[in-house]
Amino acid sequence: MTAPTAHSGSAQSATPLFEAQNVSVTFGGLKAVQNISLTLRPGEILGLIGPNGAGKTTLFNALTGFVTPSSGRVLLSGRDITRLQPQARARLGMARTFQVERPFEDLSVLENVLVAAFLHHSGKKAEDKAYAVLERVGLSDRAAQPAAELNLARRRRLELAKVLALEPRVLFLDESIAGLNPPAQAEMVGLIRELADSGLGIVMVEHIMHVIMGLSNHIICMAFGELLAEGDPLTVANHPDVIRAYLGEDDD
Amino acid sequence: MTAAAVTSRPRALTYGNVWLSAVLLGVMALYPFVFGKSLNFGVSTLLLAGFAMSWNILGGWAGQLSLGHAALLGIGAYTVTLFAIPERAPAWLGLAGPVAPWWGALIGMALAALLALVWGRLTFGLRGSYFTLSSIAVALIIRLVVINEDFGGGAEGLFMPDLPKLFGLDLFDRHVEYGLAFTFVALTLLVTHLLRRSRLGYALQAVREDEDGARALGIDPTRMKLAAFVLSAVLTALGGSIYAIYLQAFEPHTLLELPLSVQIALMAIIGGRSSIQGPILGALLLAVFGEVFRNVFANANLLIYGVLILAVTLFAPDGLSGLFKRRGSKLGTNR
Repeated sequence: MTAPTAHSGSAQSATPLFEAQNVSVTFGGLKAVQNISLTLRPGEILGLIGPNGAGKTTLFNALTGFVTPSSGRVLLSGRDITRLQPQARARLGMARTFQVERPFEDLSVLENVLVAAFLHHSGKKAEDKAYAVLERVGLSDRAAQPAAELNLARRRRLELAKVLALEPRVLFLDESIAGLNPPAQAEMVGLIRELADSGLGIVMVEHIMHVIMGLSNHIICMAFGELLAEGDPLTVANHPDVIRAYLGEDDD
Repeated sequence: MTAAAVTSRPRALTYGNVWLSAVLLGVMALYPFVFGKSLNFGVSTLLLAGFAMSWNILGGWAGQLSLGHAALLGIGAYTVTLFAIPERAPAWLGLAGPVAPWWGALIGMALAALLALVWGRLTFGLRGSYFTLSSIAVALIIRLVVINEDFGGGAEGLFMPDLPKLFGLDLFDRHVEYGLAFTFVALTLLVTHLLRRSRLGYALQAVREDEDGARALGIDPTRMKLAAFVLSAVLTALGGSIYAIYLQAFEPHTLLELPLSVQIALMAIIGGRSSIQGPILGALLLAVFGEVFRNVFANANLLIYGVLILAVTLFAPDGLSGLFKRRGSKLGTNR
């Protein structure tokens, strides 16, 4: 295993936007995540893949503060945030979505986004911010609708709107695309691409290979909590261990 | 669709069903003119409604079930009374003379806020039913202190002395007391409507529905619950001081015991925790049932509560107000 390949030689020396150093998570005797390191720069998309049970979601939780790593460090712009609560991380510019999207069902679509917009704004400004974000993800015509009534594709976009209202610098997307039909997938891919182009650093977990291969600048493949392979999408896709891990999964 | 922000925005944000509240307040304002002979029933029902509304800020909005609100009510009642009787109050307070009840009420509210802060700090970190258990314990401790300390008047309780007039109004006049209780309910309604559209209100709804989801959006659940608790405690103590003036004499076992706490919680739950006006409905229902069956069952109020709880949990899990699923009258716009 070599150090992550430099995407641009000049950026290598600067402090990365987000960094994980040898992060491990242990539950009792179970090693869910072992020694994972990653680096993220502004505008970069980092894809996290691996068969079911590989520890992707646990790593996600460890990186976003919902689980405390048993060892290793997590840094945001060089600052150690390993033990910081999720709510404090949100204030520093980190945002995440959840694998099972969870809108606040009692609230309207706008109110859902407003909850997040209140992080940096108040009153009318927060409301304007929430509307602006809804426009961006194409949900503004649904603003008054109860979130519970949205279909899956719109729920996903609502999740994205909520995290965008936090005005993050680093975005963690946990399976935002899987389960959508092809047109909705394409829309979501376009949105994510736009966000990265606007300078956000994005870490995403995704099952759909062609989607994540197409979007990511860098891929990390995990299996059984450990790093299996990493590099640019083509290298990882052709890595014999990766192929074996995925084919082995098809036994059932 | 490019100018969507300019075209009229849908009414996605609301203060809740303000009209329903206005109608309710109108009925309450008319009551003394129609039922001038039953002012006692009116005052006590309004106070109970106000307590249920205050309880619901914590129990409904923050989702923290308190069975210790009688303690907060008691703090308001005891503070306003003790500050009016300097010879009764603890010597270390160094009271030179009686303190007017409105100042006494403010001091009681401040004490209740302080208690809520400490109590919440200690218990909101835990999830599940720990807060409910702790609320019973805290109320029990406060009751023991009041009974055993001299200032509490022991088991006999306290008598309210003569009070100064408020804007020339005699505070012991039932009509004035009705006005105070009415103001109390109106205030709790106003606070709840404002909460419905406030940053705190949205944060509380988010926390209640999905604590982790709320944390991911930068919300600190403990801080939000603390804010709700302080708000609830301050209003409850205010109602408690009005209650003390209305009762004129009270004992620890009526004011500080578990049954009162349970009654406050039940009114809100039966009326509908997820509704703005539900607790008022619950209070009215329990008050009417209490009146009607007082002669039939004597002290069998608990039986009535039992039957009501069963009926509500079986047939109206969202409370009575959940039966009228009117948009806007609920805390959330939908469900």
